Amino acid sequence: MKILVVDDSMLDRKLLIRILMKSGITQEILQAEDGEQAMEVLATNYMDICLILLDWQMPKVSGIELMAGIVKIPQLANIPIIMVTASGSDENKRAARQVNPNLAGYLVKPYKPDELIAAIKDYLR
Amino acid sequence: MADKPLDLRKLKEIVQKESARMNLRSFSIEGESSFTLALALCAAIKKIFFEKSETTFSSEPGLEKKFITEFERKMRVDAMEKFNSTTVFSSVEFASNEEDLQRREYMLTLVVYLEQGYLPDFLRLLQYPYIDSDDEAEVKDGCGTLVNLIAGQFKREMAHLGYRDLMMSPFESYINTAPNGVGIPRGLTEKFELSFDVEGSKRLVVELVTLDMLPKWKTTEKMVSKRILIIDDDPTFIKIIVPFLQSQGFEVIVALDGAEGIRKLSENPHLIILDIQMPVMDGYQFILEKKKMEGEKNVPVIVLTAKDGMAEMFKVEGAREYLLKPFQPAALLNSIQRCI
Repeated sequence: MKILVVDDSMLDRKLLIRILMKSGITQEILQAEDGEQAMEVLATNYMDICLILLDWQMPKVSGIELMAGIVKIPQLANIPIIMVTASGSDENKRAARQVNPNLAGYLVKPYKPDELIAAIKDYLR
Repeated sequence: MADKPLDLRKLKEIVQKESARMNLRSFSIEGESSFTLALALCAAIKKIFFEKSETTFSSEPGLEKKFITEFERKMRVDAMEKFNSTTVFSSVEFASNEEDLQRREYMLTLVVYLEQGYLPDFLRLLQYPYIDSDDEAEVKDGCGTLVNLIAGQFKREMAHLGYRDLMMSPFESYINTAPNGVGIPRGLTEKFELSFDVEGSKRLVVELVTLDMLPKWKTTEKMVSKRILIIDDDPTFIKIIVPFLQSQGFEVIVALDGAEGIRKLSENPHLIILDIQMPVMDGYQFILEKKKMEGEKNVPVIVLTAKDGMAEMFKVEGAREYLLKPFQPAALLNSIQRCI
């Protein structure tokens, strides 16, 4: 199974992937730069994706917008999503849960590697 | 689960429909930079002006470019080539959804990762005048500063969303309420609020994060290169304060008594830090003598002394601030910022 990382910041994606690699995670990692690209990846790979790590603020289609769609699409609705975002306000967290009551996690940047691993480990298949 | 690819067009439609139904609107301006708050801010500003927005802040063609070039020149970082890390990034984010907009709760978060001790630089950076203005009122409101540039952009973003004519109160005094960075333990997050009011009650939050993992870097040219004249006869104090002020970007001149201080006025300091008890000519004589000599010019004086109870006396003679030893870096920096 694969992990999909959606973040418009290349640096953030690199950082995240580096942490995953370092902690011995063997899943293949797919990347997307924004919600729109994520949709393209999801359309063809959804059956192989076990987890989505999703940034909030992105151009074109934001993370929250993408998530609002994902939860309505039966083939995608069961893929766990963890928001990984710099916006850590309670309002945003509430808003994210409102959009996706089954949200698997909400990580605020900058996060510690351990936090990331702890957040994702239950969802790796 | 069916193994057939999804219809992308349909997928996009659903995303669009759902986010519209749930009134989700968010937009972002992000910049990333390898290592410094300065370049990070540059990147953010570049994004603001060159990618995200069509609005320009001046009618003069090419000024944006000039500003960025100038800005980068001033804050050029010499560690740039050597450092290769993915741990530092910055973003300027505008987050909102319709409900937030209805409640007039807008949030602008500017996240900057700072090495300990660089907060003063950052604060100066926020005040960096990006544009010269002949309009006095504009200058007074801080319109020409970076922090207002960001606020202005925020206002424009809101206008895109249909919220026009937002009143944003002029930015003032945040520097006095903000922690100045000295003594922030590494790895801690410092948050402070800039005093922008969006229609009376809303806040602009700036989150500052100090990280111990940042590379050592220094600016080759400081934002503010002001000359400070220290007049003090205590060599231990000189040993402490000179490197401290230099680390904050000031040029420092030292005089070991009042008479030498008077002579060194010819080096045109922007500020004087004055001790009271000194041989040859003490601080009080110095300030009287200086007053006689200077006439209109009046270089601001901060009295920094172990002698309590003379504040009134010195203030009558024109001293701007009166601080007691042992010197507190934070208090001193605040005083300096008030004076310069």
